[in-house]
Amino acid sequence: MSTAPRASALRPWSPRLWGAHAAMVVVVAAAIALGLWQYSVSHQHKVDQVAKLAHATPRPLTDVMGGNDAFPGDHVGRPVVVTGTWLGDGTVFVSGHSHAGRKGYWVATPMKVDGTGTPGSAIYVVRGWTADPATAPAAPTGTARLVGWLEPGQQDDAVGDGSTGSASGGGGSATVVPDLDMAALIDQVHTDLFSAYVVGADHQSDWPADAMPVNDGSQGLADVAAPALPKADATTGLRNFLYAIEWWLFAVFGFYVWWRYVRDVTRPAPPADAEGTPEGDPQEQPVPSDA
Amino acid sequence: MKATLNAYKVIATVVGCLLIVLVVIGVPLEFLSSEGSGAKSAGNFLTEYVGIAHGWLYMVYLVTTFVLSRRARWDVGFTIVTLICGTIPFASFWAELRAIRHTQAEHPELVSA
Repeated sequence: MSTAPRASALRPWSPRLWGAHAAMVVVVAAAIALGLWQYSVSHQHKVDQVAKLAHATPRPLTDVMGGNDAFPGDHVGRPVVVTGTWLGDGTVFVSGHSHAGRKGYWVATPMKVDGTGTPGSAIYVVRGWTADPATAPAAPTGTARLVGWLEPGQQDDAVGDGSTGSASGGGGSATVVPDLDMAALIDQVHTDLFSAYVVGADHQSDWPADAMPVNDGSQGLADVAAPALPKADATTGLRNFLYAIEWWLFAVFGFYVWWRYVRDVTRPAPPADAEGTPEGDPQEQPVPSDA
Repeated sequence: MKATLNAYKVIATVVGCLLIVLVVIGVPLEFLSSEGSGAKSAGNFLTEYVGIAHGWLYMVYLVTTFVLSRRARWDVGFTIVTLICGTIPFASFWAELRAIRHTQAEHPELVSA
């Protein structure tokens, strides 16, 4: 930066400064773009990790939590294997869930989980989605072993379309609930409930959910996506996120350098006795020894 | 200006060393060692944390160098070469030496210890 004021100051739009202007635009634009790129890399790392966690090897439900345990917060969205016996009478239809743009219901049936003792505990399994409870397939019976995503029980936070009701269908009446609130659902099953529910996993050929389910009750129902996904670690993608911020700071720096340069070369020459003191070192000019 | 020059010496040395650790040790360890080995995880650790530290300290280096360049009246080309050399392993030390000599030559009062 040759900052010595000149006898004839340049105008900011002087052709001799066009190169500096163009360089600034290129540097700032490039730094912003590189920051955006690093930001997307950081985001992708998080998305990849979530996908990996959601399709981790499923663990038996009873290894992850017991029937009377509070929901283990770090297992939201974890794939679990549930083995037990269907309690078809407890089937409920959870209102307010859309699928492919259509309004409809989750179909959830409790299952008494093996290995929880006598009388044991049950967990609600979201078997799928249906547009109309009247045409939903009958609840499965017998025993089953299936893979699903573990989700914390929903709290009835006084929204939704009201309390438990019933919808009349061809084969009788179906129980409609606004959400999977275990405290309210206990009336449906007459047994202890896990403070959690499971969303039946979609079948993917490269994942245990494909080979496992027998009698998983999903026939005739549309797949439901897990409402809450596992959380990525806070540090995942952190480096790239910080790189993004650095690139944006660099853009500011490039702009600042350009601004100082243009200001210096366009400043009118000061009177001879003032001996221009560019900003930044006002007190260094007069005395050489500040050592 | 002496303080600025000293700050420049410190930050340029630190950034230069971190860059060498990152590029000469961390990156080869991460990409040349086999999956699951101790060397791989050491490489991961280095590129992650040294990478972050180097990135931020390089920002400090940029600002410090720029402040020094204005106080010492470096010309534009010299300043840009010095800034860019901060990103090249080993060349950063050459640029640092060159910048210090240049500054001391122009400002002899700085040489006195």
